[in-house]
Amino acid sequence: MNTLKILSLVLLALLFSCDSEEPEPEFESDLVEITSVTENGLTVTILATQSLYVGYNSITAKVEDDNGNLVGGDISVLPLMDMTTMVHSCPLEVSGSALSEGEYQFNTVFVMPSGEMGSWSLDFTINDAEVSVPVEVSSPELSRLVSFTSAMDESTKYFVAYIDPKDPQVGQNDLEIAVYKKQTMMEWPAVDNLEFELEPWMVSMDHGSPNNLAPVHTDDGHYKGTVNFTMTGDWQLRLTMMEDGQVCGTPYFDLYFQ
Amino acid sequence: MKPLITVFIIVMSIQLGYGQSEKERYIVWLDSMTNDQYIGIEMELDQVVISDSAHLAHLNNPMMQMNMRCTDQLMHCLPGVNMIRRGNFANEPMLRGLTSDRYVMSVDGMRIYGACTDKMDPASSYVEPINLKSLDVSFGSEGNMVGCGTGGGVNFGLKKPVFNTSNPFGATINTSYSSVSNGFDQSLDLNYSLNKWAIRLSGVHRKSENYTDGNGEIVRYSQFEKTNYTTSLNYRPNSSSMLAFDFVADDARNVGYPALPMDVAFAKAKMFGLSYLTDRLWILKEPEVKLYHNFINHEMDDTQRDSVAMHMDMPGNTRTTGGFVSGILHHGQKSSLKMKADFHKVFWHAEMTMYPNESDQLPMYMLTWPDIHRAIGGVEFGHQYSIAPNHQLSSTARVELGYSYISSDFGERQLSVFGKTGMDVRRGLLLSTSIKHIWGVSEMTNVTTSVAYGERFPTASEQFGFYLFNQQDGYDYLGDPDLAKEKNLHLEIGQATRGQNFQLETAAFAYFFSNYIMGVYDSTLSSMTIGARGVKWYRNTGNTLMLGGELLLRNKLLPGMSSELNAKYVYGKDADGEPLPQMPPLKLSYSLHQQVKGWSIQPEVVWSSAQRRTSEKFNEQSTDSFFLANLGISKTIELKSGVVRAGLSVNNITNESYREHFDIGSILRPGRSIDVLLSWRFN
Repeated sequence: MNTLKILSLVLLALLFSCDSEEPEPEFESDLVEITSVTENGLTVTILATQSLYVGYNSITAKVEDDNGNLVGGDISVLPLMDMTTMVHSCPLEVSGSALSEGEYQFNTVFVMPSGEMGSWSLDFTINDAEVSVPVEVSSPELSRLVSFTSAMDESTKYFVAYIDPKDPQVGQNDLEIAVYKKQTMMEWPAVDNLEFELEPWMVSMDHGSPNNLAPVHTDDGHYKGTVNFTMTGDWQLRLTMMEDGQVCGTPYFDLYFQ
Repeated sequence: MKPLITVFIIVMSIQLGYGQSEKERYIVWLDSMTNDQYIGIEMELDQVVISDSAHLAHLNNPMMQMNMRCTDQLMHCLPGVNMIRRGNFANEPMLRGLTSDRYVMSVDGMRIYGACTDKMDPASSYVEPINLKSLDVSFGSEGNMVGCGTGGGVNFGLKKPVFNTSNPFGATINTSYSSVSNGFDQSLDLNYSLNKWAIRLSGVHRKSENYTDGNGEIVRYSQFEKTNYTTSLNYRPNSSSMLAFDFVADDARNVGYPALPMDVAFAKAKMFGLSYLTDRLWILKEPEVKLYHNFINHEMDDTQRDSVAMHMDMPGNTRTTGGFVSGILHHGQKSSLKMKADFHKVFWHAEMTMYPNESDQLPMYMLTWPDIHRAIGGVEFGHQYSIAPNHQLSSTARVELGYSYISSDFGERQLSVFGKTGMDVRRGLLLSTSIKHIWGVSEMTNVTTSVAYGERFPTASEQFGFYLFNQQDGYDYLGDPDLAKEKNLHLEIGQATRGQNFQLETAAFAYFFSNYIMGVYDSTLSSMTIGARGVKWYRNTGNTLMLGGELLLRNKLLPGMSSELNAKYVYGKDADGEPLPQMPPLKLSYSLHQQVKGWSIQPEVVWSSAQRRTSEKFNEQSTDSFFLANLGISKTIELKSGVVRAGLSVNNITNESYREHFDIGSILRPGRSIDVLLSWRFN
């Protein structure tokens, strides 16, 4: 490259235009306060990256006593939907049962929105004291949870929750979904024996995208793969869900991005 | 500058003999650049000079005069050149069956790159014949002192202002009309000179409606309108040096491309060049130092179309900045050595936004040229050596270093879909070398044998293009950042015989390509464009062979009457042994040329054979043979205050319904057209 460098210096030292690289704005995904309840001498604050919605929510509960001190000790949580005639729960992922510096992180998949049908609460038991936090769960503009009855077995109802990409971009994206089934009103176990086929689809032009990797099971009902988008627009993430080689459903998610 | 240098140096050395010093000879040459007036065309097989020079012959060829109206028509007439049509505007020159991907295009030595991903704007579309001083076409791997290509080079030399102290003001007005498209062209060329300064201003306006084909059908979306402005300023501080500034602005609007799914809203180019010429600079004799910059903005448009599957915006732009130093290192009785060192950098950007028909769906956006940067620096030497009185060797050698990368994050993410990266800088070295032996068999005959080897980098589209739809074969094309350079070994043999009453020139060539870059279908990918057949990757496909030749025969039949026969043919075979796409079949043209008392009459017939060797991979259809008859008449009247010239031509007299094999789409070429031209030069 020396020749080229000398040449360019001699010829055109002044003509190099600046290719200034604009720094990317840094994105801070701070938690925001969703709601807060004080009961039995404890204040529980619910934090999440966005308001709670039907689908996979990562939630942080912050527990303080009357003096504003962070509380330690044991904790457990149970999401409950009270529909007056009946009560049901939803899928829940917890790691341990201890408060760490007053905080407790868990994931839950709300399976329906709050409304006239009923209302959600997160019922905490903190060091034997009970705190029930009513929460508002809304339907997102784009569905992030698909539920259906298995095509193979009418008694099994699956819930497929969309996790990633949260902010889809043109190019390669990590894909993550989680699948649960409703066993009883209160039991919503993860399903780990499924296989998927994946086809991202550009609906308005009827084409797909190449080199996708269908999600495969990692752990606790989570399935990870790779999804590619060749352009912006409204993509549909089309999945074919199979159990023992037989199709049990074809859930899809709409993704709009610009 | 090569054609000028070669032509004028030859002319001058003949005229002036050996009595002069080099400096005087140079001053005469510099004078000649800025003295001669009037337009003429000198055409040989390997070189074409359009010139103001009064020294050159064949000035009064009326077909050529008529064709001087636009660059497309002009180039169409050249040996070894065919023009690919996408519409009635901005045809793409094809050199011996090779498209603009493979050769180097430049304006006055300034590299310029079209800004349309669909090749709607080859650089030739930004140049008007009224501004041309010369047109230099080289083929294959011949060194052309402009850049490395495997298919040759085209350089449009720009006209310089005239220094004329006795008559400082000069002007030319041209106006013409073409019946087939109801097209009106006007141009104005003004020249003013002072003692040390001279300025030339020109303006061209052309407007054409839809043309009518040979079946009498109006070809919709074939209209266009364009304006072109040029300013050239020359300053001669002393007799042996000159500072020249050129500015060219070209602005085309509402251009229809009937063969393509889209038209063009506008295509705007601006070119700036500043050069310094002097008789000596350090070790260089007669050097030219030049700096230049040009940019093109291009925007496709489909809003005029009746029905589109989906409305799209497809703007693109290129920016090129560069410079060079060229000159003679050694000039002796037996040998001469000239050199050129050049550098340029170019930037390509093109994007596509598609608007779904359902209003609730989001627009879709892609970067089709993802902010591609390339910089190239080269050094070239040209050596001429007389081995013996009848044997001359001329050789060229060029080394080019270049790198390319993309700077768009969005583009990088697009590439990640295919597990590729464009941000890594890719460097490459190109070598281009040729050796030519000219043997003066007799006083009348020269035999030329040459061996040349050339390499080229992939084009922006071939390296980084993203889902570029090719209307011709119906596939979306993907660029491959890791493409290797393409190579061409070029063998050529030719002869030129000039007798008292005839001139015969023939050339036969063979191109042996390796790593030939071509689209290869990938069945695993689904097309993006609605209605496309699938996706092709640009790949290095292997060894490709091309053979062909040209013939030019001029005869003086009677005093004032001559005839000219032209023939050209190309054969191409791809790496799988199948025909290459877009191969021009055998084409012959024969014209008679009669000159009497300022009248010039030229009937002409053109015949093209059918092309049945079609490329299946390219979904090519065979093309029928066609026959055309044309007639050109012109009258020149010398006045005290200048010259008036009137021309009339009838093209495609029989209203033949035809298309050339390499044309895009199934659009037919224009039917019968009566063209009228009026030109008035004041001085």
